[in-house]
Amino acid sequence: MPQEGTKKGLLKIDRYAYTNKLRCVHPAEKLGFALAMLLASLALSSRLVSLLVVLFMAASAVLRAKIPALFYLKLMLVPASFLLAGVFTVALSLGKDHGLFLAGIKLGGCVLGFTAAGLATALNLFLKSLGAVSCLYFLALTTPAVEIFALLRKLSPPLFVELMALVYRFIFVLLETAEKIYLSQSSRGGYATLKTTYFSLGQLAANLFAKSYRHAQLLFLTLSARCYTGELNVLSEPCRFSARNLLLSIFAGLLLLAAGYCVEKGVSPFAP
Amino acid sequence: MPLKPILEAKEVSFRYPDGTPALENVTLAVAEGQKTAFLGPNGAGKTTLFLHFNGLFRPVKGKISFAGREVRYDRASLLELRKNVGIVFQDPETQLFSASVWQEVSFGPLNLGLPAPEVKERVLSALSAAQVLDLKDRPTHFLSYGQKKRVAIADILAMHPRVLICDEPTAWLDTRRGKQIMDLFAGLNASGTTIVFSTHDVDLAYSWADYVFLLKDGMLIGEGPPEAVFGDPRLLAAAELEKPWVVEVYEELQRKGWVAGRRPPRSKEELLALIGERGVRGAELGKVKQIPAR
Repeated sequence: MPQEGTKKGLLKIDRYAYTNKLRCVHPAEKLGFALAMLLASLALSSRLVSLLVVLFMAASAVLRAKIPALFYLKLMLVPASFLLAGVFTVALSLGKDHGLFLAGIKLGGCVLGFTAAGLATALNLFLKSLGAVSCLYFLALTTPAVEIFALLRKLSPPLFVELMALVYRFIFVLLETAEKIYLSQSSRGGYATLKTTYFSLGQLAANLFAKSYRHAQLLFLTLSARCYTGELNVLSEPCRFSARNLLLSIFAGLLLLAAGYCVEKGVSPFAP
Repeated sequence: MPLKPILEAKEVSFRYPDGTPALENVTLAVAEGQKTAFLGPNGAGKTTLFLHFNGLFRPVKGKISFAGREVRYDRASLLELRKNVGIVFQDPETQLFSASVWQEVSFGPLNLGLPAPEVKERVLSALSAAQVLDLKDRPTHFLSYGQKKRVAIADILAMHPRVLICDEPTAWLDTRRGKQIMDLFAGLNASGTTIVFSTHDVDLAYSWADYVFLLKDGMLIGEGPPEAVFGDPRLLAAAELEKPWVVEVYEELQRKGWVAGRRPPRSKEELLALIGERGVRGAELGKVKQIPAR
């Protein structure tokens, strides 16, 4: 079915978020770590730093949080394939100076092909984006969404976080509803031919909207029954917070930044 | 001592916005501390009436009262009513809004303005009463239907309402879980909570409830203690209900002259006890006579 792949992936990420070995680490520490690495990767356009971040995050997820390596690899392949297609156009350049091109085809007086500088930019972009994605993956795989919301609740306006939390819950409700409609349609031959497939998919989309709307109305009713007055107050369970871990994360980020800076500028930190 | 009514409907009529009539001139009183069952075919108006008791729906005509006071529909009065009258919806999927079981159950008590430590205590005891304490750290979307249903019940238990309304508590649950829920309600009832529930299960209503209301097409067509309601074939036919099997078997045994008692047995156990006294004709139910060994 069309949604099945997405649903399985989503549910799996969610399942690991609740069962990984870093589950008991305070969400602020994990968020701090992911952010420190993200900033290190974004602040410097350094291939080395970005590559280090990709490897470091992969090691943290696989070795520390015990996410199966194969699953992590598969997960990384999704953005990697998008990125490859994306940076291809960045790598491609058009110019008149034949000497600059490593490979290319002649189009009249111009050359369309790859230059060393173009390839370097593309590689930079690719690694930088992959580094950023692996930081987000680390957070998604080790921290349940609910805990991230609880953390954000302290940092941002409640309305925004409540919306996020509701959207998150409704993704699963919607997927489940879509799955039920799909099953009932296909059990009656709704996806037998291309023509019926188009028709059934249209019906599914229209019904899903109607059902979601009805669901939202019912939810308002059921919340009101429990004295809802416009704010979704919930109690979050406090986790043990370790300032040491957070500081270590920030230190690691700074170290990466310094290393990247030195390599880029060609200075040795140990030179007199 | 006459029972004090806790929830009352006086000549209540309700129409949905599209004009569909849902309740027609309903007058009834639910007595405090009783286990009250509402029966009737689909679309009889049971759920609509429940939503009136919680102030979610406002009658087009007539009045709803709680604890002798007419329900008012300003914000403060509604909050006060909803604090006292909790309602568990039939489909837990529409009730559970949070992705975390723990947070889900904490929502109600927090809205009552309780301090965090007390909320925590209430959440824990509600989860353990509904037998879902082991699920407290699990995300809502990984739960089975039965588990979601029990979390939905814990939602309301944590608010400690004076009246607990449950729309079809046993629907879709397996027999054992269904019985556990009803045992939980019986325990709450023993400590003073009024229990109101709707069901299609005549056997459950007959054995379990203290008082029964029959609704059909938005109208109240009968009420009374279960023995009276389920002993009235014409009333049952009008409500499209079957006779509970205990009553049916008892009447058959009585027709054959095999058992006699002043009142029909209320449960399987009472019926079996009665059959055990076969030969002791005219024996009163509940007084087991010893047959001397030969």
